[in-house]
Amino acid sequence: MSKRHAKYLWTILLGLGLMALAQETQQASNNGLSKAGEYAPGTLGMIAQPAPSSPPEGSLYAVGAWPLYTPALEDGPGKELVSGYCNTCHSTTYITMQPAMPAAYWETNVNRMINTFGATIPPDDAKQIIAYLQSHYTIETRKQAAPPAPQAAPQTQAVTGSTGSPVYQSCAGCHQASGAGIPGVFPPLAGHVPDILKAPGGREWIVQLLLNGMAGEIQVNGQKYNGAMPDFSQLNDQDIAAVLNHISTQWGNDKLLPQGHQPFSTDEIKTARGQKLTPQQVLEARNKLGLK
Amino acid sequence: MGQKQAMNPTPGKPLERREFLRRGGLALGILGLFPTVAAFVRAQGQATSPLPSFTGPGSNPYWNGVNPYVVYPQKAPLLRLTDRPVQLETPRGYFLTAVTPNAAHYVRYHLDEIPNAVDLAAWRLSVEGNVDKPLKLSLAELIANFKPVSLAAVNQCSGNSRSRFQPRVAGGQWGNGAMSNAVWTGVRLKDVLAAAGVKSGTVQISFQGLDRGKGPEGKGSNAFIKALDWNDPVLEEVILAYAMNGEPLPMLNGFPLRAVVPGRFATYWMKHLTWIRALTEEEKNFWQASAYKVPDNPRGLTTPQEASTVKTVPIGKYPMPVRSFIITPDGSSKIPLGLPLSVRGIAFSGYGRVTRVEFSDDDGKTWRPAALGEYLGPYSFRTWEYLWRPQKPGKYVLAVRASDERGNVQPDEPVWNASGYMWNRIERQEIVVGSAG
Repeated sequence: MSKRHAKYLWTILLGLGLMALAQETQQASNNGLSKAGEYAPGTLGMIAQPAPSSPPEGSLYAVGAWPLYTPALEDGPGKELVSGYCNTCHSTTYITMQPAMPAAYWETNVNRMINTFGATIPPDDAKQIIAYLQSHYTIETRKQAAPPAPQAAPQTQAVTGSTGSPVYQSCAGCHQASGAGIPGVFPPLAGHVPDILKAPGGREWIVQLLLNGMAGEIQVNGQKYNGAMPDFSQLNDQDIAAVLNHISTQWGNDKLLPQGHQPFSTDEIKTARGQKLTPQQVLEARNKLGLK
Repeated sequence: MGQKQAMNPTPGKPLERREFLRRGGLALGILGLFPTVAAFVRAQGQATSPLPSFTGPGSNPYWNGVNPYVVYPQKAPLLRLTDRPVQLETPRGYFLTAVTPNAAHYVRYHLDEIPNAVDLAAWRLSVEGNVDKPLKLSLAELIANFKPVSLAAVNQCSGNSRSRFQPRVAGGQWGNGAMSNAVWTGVRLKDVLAAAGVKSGTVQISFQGLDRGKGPEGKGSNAFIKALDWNDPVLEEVILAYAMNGEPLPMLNGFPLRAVVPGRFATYWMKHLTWIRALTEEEKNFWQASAYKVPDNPRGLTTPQEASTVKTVPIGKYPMPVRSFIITPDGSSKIPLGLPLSVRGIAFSGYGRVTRVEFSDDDGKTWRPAALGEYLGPYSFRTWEYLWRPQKPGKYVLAVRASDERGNVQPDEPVWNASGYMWNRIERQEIVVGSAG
C-alpha cells in the first residue's frame, strides 16, 4: 500500500470512528446518564488571584498590608461601642468566630479583656458591650449569617472611604469612617482636628498624641470623654504623617485649618520621636492647649 | 492551587511514598489515582450552599473549621479564623503529603502588630541576659558562622481541633488544620547559646519575636514571650530556623527566623525570633504564667466541674500526643462497590516515631494495619495508606488510630479542658459505598 493510500484509509477510519462516537453520544441519554448540563449561579463567591509583587531593593524584605476580611456585626444598641473598644487590639472576627456560647461567657470575657489584658473600658460602656454581645452571640440569640453575596464590596473600602488613607483604618474603629466619633465615648476628629492645630503648640501636641497615646478625662466641645487612646508609635514616620494629613483634610477640616498650615512632614515625626511622654503627660500637655 | 509548591528539600531523597509502591500500593498507579502533584485541595462537598457561619453548642462536625477561604501575602487560599491578629487554617487537602507546602502552612498570631517589612541590614538576633558574652547576630552571621542542620517537624497549635470540644470552649475555633509539617533548616539553639556562654544560675531561656500588640506594657496584650526551662532536654534539639522546605520563611510563618521546638506544641515556636534571654528568674508574663496551661496529665484531661480547681502546668511539659487523620476519601464522592479504594492520611506523635497506623471500616470495632509511608524523622508527619475493598454497599464509618515508639496508642475518649488544648481522639470519616451495577 502506498503512502497516499494509507493516508486515505486513515481518513476513512477516522470518519467512521467519529460517526460511531456521535451515535454513542446520542444514545448516552438512555445509557445511564441521569442528568447533564445543569448549571446554577455560584453562590459561594470567588477569590481573585493576587498579582505578583516586586520585592523592594537591598536588605528590605516586605509584603503588602495584611488584608482584612471582617464580617459585619449584628445591628443593635452597643454595636458602635463593641466596634470601637474591641478594635483597639483586635478585629471583631474574635467575636464572630466563636461558637454559640452561654451568656455568662461574654461577661467573663469582657471582664478578662479589662482586667487581664488592660483594655480601658469605663464600667458603663462595659455593661453595654456585654449586653450587646449577649443579645446577639449566645446559644439562645445567635443567628446564622446570610450566605455571602456573589460580589461583596471589599470591607476595607467601607472603612477607609474613597479618599482613604489606608492607615486611617486603625483609627476608624473608634473615631468612625465619618470622623464624627461617638458622643461621650470616642471624640470626633471632624471639626476638632483644626481646633487643635489652631491652638499654640497644638500641632506638636497631636504628633505626640499619636506617638505616645493618652489616658484620662478630656472635654471636646463641652462633651466629656473618659477613655484612653493607644499609642501608634509602631507606625513609621511616613504613615503617621500621612494619617495626620488625612485627618486634617477630611470631613471639611481642610476649610477650617489655620492660615499658612503646612502638611505634616516625615522629618517632623522623626524629630518628635526623640521626646518620650507617658499617656498622662500627653493629657497634661493637652490641658495646657486651652481647648474648649 | 498554591502558587508555590514545596520544593523537595533533600535532593536525591524523594519524599514521595516509595514504600507504598513496594507494599502493594502499585494498584493505585495502575488505576491512575496516584497523585502527581505535591498537594491539592479537594472540595468537601458540592457547591450550592455554604457551611454554616458558626457551630455550637454541639461539636463542630466538619474536618476543618467552618470559616471562609481568604487570600494573604505569600499564601494559598486558607481558612480565615480571624483577620487581626491573623489566624488561618490549612484546608484538609494539603495533608495528603508528609510535607505541607509553605503557601499552605497554617498561621496563628496573638498580637496584631505583625511585621509587614523587615530590614535585614538592621535586624539582629539578640542573645542576652545571664550570659558571658551577649550577642547581636545578623542573619548573614547566623548562616555563615553556625553549622546548618535540617529537621522535619510538625508545627501544631495547642488548640488544634478546639471546635471538637464538648462543652464548647472559646478561643480559636480550629478544625484539624492548625498543624503543618515542614523541613526546617537553621542553626542549633545550643550552638548559639554556647557562643554566648550561658552562666550558672540560669533557670529558663525565653524567646520573643518582633510582633507586638497595642495593650499596655506588661500585659499579655502588649508582648508575647515564651520560655523553656534550662534543664528541659528539648533545648538540645531546638533549631533557630531561617528556612522552611528550602525557602525563606513566609512573613506570616515568622520571617526571618523562628524557633522550632521538636515534638512540642507551637506556642514555643516563636516567630520573627529576635530576642533570646537567659533568665535567672522564671518568666512571669501572661502567656507563660497564665495561658497555655493544661491539667497535669499527658492528655490535659479534666472536667468542666473540676476545671477551676485542677492543678495546671505549662503545656510544654508534655509532648504532643499521638494523632492520625483520614485525608481521602473525604466524603465528597460515593464509592462504587468493587473499586479498591485508597484510604490515605497522615500520623504523627510528639513522643517520637509513629510505628503503627490501624484502619477500621466499622467505626473502630475492628482494626487492620495500614501501610506506613516513608520515615522522615521522629517529629515529622508520616503518611499512611490502606487499600480498602468494601464487601457490600452501604454507609461505613472509617476510623484511623496511630501508635508511637513509646507505646502510646491513640485513644477514643474525647479530651476536655478549659482552654481547648491537646485534642487527639480517634478520627472518623463517614463514607457511602454504592452498587456498581
